[in-house]
Amino acid sequence: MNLDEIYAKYDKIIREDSSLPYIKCNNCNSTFFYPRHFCPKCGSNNIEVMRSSGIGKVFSWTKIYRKGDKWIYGIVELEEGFKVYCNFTEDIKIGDKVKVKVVPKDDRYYSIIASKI
Amino acid sequence: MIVGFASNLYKKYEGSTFEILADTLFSALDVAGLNKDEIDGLFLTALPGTFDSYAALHFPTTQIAQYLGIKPKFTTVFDYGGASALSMIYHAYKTIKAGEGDTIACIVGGKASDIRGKGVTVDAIDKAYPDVSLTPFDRLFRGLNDLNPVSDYALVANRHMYLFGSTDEQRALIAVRQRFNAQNNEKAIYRDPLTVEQVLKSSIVAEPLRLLEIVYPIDGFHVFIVSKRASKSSLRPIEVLAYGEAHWTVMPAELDDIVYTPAVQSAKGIFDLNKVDSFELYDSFTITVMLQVEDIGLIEKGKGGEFFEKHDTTYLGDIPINTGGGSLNTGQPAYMSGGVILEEALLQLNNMAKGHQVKDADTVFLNGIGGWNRAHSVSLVLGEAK
Repeated sequence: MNLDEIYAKYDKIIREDSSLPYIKCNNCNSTFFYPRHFCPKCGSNNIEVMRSSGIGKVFSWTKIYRKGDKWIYGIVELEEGFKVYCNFTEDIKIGDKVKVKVVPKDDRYYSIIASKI
Repeated sequence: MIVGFASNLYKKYEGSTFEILADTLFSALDVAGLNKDEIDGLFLTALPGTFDSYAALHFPTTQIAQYLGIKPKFTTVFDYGGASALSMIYHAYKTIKAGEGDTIACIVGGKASDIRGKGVTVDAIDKAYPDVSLTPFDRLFRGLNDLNPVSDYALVANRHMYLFGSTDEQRALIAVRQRFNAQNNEKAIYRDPLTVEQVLKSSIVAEPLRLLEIVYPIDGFHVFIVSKRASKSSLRPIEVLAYGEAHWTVMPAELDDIVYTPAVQSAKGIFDLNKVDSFELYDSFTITVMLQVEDIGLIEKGKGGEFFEKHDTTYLGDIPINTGGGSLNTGQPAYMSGGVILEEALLQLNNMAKGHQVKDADTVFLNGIGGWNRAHSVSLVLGEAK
């Protein structure tokens, strides 16, 4: 699988039902979100694109105040063992259980959004 | 071998970046007693958007040598952001000791006001210049609303509070102490006394970080001349006593935790901290300083807040830190604080820190943190070789 193929699979999963894709290494069982065409832990090419449950816990967060606007931004640790940057839809605390969704922002970028469950 | 140094800092410089650079270089050469044609090495760090509004300089060292009208034998771009300045000094010493050059100009700075005017920072430059790659994973990152590097350090500060119970007051104390140190620093733009209450009352930029915990980006340069031709310089002969660098380049979300900086690795065991007279630590934010007192080993992990309660870190205190007030008070030239802390170290070592001089400062420990999302740490100990 090259990077283009990985992004095509990511895009398909995202566009199907806003699920969060990730990669699992079949050699060392590690998981990661930010795509490489090999496992960053063990170097294996035996990797697979998976669909995450999206369920995770808030690892850290910040509320950004900018020109009268507010955004909540942070990191979620997913139950499959990897972490992602995202924006939050509401006030949260570290440790809160959330569900992460991904939606295309345009034809290149994606928004990653987490809400409390 | 550091035979000359100079800086020129402005809230907003109306002219060209190349002007400030050249004027600062000539001032540093004056201190060194050298002329520009004697420069055979050019070390530079340049960040996107900080040279006259251009997103980037094509062949930056060429353009700078071209403007200065010099013919260096070698040029190098250091790519560690705010930590670059410290790395340049070490590599300049090594290069000269290896006999590969006699005089190296180390240049750090640029103009922050152009990017500042667009309402972004250099680490969030993608919000102002669409065709900039921040990470190999841009497609999954740039769709987010962040305000890096403020939001990045805010995530760290919140997690530090959660894991270790550090407080807003403890971080505020760092800003207060640095302001005390800045009161007599002629380079500082903020010199009025500051209280913890004032810091806590300043507006929140990215929770929990408040305005008075965050550097203000400015225009300006620092230039350091490293040379074996020291006969015309009145500066004290300074040696590199210890050095370390470390690079944690993964996305912070892929780190096991975000509350550690690569200083854990770059500073580890390089020098006996009891023999240090002052510490000049990277101060992009209050939390950055708190992380470093832990990571360089002044106190165990998680106790950085208590450290500032227990110790007097003013230039008059038992463990002086950021003795000129740091970049929190001078402003941060071109989004990099490395030149500010390096200049302060040299003022201390040369007994030139008027109004903020640590008595008998013979040994200074510097730590720089830089790059996108804290990727780089450079630890440097300067002093007179005994």
